[in-house]
Amino acid sequence: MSTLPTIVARLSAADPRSIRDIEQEIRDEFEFHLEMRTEDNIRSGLPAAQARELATAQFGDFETIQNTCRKTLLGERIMLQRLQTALIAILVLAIVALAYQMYSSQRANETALADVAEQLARLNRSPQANSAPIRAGEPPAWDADRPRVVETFPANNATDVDPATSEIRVTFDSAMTDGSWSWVRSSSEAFPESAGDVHYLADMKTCVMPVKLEPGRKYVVWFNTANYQNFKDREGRPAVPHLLSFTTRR
Amino acid sequence: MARSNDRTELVQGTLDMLVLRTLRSGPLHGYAIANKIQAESDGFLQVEEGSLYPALHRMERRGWIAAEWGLSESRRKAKFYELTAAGREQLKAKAKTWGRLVAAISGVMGTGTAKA
Repeated sequence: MSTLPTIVARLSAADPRSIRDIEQEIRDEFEFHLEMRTEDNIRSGLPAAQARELATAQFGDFETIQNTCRKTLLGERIMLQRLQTALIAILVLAIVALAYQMYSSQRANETALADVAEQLARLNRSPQANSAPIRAGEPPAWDADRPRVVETFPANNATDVDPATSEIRVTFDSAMTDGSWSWVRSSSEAFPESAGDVHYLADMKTCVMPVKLEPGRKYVVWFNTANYQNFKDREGRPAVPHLLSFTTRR
Repeated sequence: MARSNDRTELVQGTLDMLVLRTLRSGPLHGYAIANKIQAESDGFLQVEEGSLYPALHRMERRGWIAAEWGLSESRRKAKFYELTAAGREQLKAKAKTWGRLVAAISGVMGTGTAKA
């Protein structure tokens, strides 16, 4: 068995002939042999056609001998060519897999960015400017029909809230389902301490949470999120998530 | 193995040695090599083409012989083989091994001088 370094060394000792050239040389060499044998047969008294026929029979199985010689002269080169083809195929597959992975990753990033943009658009939609969200295009129909927060108390982003404030109110643009809400905390530190039972006012648009606030603290409350959607109107449509953030004065 | 009573094919493993020995006198093409082996064995050894050409190509790959295309005695294009320095070394080694083998077999058969 030849080792790979030996094979490479032999090939790099460089036979400049192409595979096709070598195959042709084998055929030429055999043909010469047949011609010489035919001539000898003619000299021994056979007619030309018979002489050639006999020469061919004497030579043996032309194809088999040719294949044996082909393997002898080209076996290593053919093996290396196959190896090279296999390596190229593997390389191409790896590139395709990598490209697909990059494409998938990019798609995932785009989707994540789109989600973030949508969240930002919702965050920036203040109750006072209850018009178009900050995003391209109109919201889908199902989203447009959903109830929205139109006002909060304290107001969003207020920085001088009286720490003696005893309740937080959120008002929607339509009547809501009684006894159903999602006051959601983003962190336990930023969520106000409860001081009583949550309830709706008589108009069923305003929900109230009694609280006990502390001076000099920032509070953050979500009304509905992607996972908690119990603020819903009478038809069961969940309200568009809304973030309330305010700070009490010292 | 024998084609007829007065001709036989080569003992396995000896073809390389005979080809190398035949080429010692100068470059020859395949057909001439086969004929020369047959002639020098008084027609006893028959070289099959199916063995000769693979052997020539194998030895060419191993560097024991070198090949070159030229014109034959009948002015046809032919491939001539020539013994290389590595081939001469191989011939020496093979001849030595062959000598030992013949002596050993002769000893066993009681037809030679080797000790049994």
